[in-house]
Amino acid sequence: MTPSHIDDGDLVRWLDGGTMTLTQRTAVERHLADCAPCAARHRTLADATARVHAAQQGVALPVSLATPPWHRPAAARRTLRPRFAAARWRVPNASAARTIAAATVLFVAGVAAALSPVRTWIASRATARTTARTTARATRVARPTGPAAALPNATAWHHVDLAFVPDADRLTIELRGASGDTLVIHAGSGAAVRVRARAPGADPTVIVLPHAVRLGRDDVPASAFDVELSVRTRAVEVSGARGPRVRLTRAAVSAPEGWRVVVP
Amino acid sequence: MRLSVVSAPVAASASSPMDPERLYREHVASLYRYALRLCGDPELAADVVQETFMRLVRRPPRDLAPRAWLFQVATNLAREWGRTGARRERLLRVAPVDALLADAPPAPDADVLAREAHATVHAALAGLSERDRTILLMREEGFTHAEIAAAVGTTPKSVGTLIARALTKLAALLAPTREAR
Repeated sequence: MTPSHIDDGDLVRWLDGGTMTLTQRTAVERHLADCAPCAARHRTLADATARVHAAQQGVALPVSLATPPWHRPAAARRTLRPRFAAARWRVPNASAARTIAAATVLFVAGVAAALSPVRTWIASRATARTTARTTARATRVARPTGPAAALPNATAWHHVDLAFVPDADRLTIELRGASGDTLVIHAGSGAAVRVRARAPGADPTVIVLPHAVRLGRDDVPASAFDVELSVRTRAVEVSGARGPRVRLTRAAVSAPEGWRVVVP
Repeated sequence: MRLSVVSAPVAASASSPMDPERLYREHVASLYRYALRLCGDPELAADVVQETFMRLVRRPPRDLAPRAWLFQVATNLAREWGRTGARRERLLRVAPVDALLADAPPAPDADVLAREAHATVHAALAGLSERDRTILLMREEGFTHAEIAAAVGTTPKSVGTLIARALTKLAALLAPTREAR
């Protein structure tokens, strides 16, 4: 409080009460009675406070929060939609910038491929690479035991591709629905993870959280993932409600440029 | 192992200060009001509240008082999930009055005017910075200056001044509306 006028902070403290002594409060009240500018500021602050208070009282609790989430049946539980994708998660081909970048790369590659020396070099590299990749995939793809044979034809499945960089060492991917399976990926911070979520007959529901991804719907009996992990990934746990728990480590499934896990 | 986020809380007894049932009953309305004003999207606010309480169940706070912890987590979630500022601002500005306020039966004129007045305040709140909005909303929910200071990373003594500045900005944003009437 200055000798001439009341400090704004003191005005608020006086309005809020509790942080001023009785002497200080009395001093503020006396000053407000005699000082028109301070009284006007006080009215402004008090009026804004009252309007915020009145506006906040008009907010009602939505039905979805009437009961705690742990009491709700699975089918009635709220799910977080993948609307946060734009903020943290990158869905392939979702941004115009990516489209432009891809088009640019294609254009440059097309021009380069038109040149005879480049075309010869690409042809030689492609042959070598196909051979190497076929060999590597046989060691990289892990198929935990399960009712894979019962899954519908792949053409009847819909999928959603996600590519993201978790900001923590541990990223959880939940398989919802009857399978209850869970993937826990111990990815190094900043490591890229790509997931293709599949569900029969309709697009799988994807729920993106800061450190977890929930895939699948409660009413769909089965779903599946293709997960591509970066080289910095240390281990993947594949867990099922009914099946055995599987933990894959880089020592068990090693590949120089990353590895891929398919969970039916 | 079934890693289900939704699991019945078993860690705390009903008399414990960390009893999720009691904390939910006591704070869900206040937390939703706060989250709604903070992020501007009713569905997002409900998600924020739900996730906040699920985190309480999964990993209860050790150091902070539960109420302060709940609001801190909700603040972080709202900030994180609504990080696209333009989108949040748009939502805050265009959210229909009916989506933000309590459902009500066909109302007399006084109620209609009150709802419009509330919507005006909500729009003005949306025009404030995130920090100012957080400060005013925490104050409205009854937090002390010390708790607000801890939440926004300042000293308790300066909170009064910050509140006054935020209120003055809010009053300035509300003034044209008032003059127009």
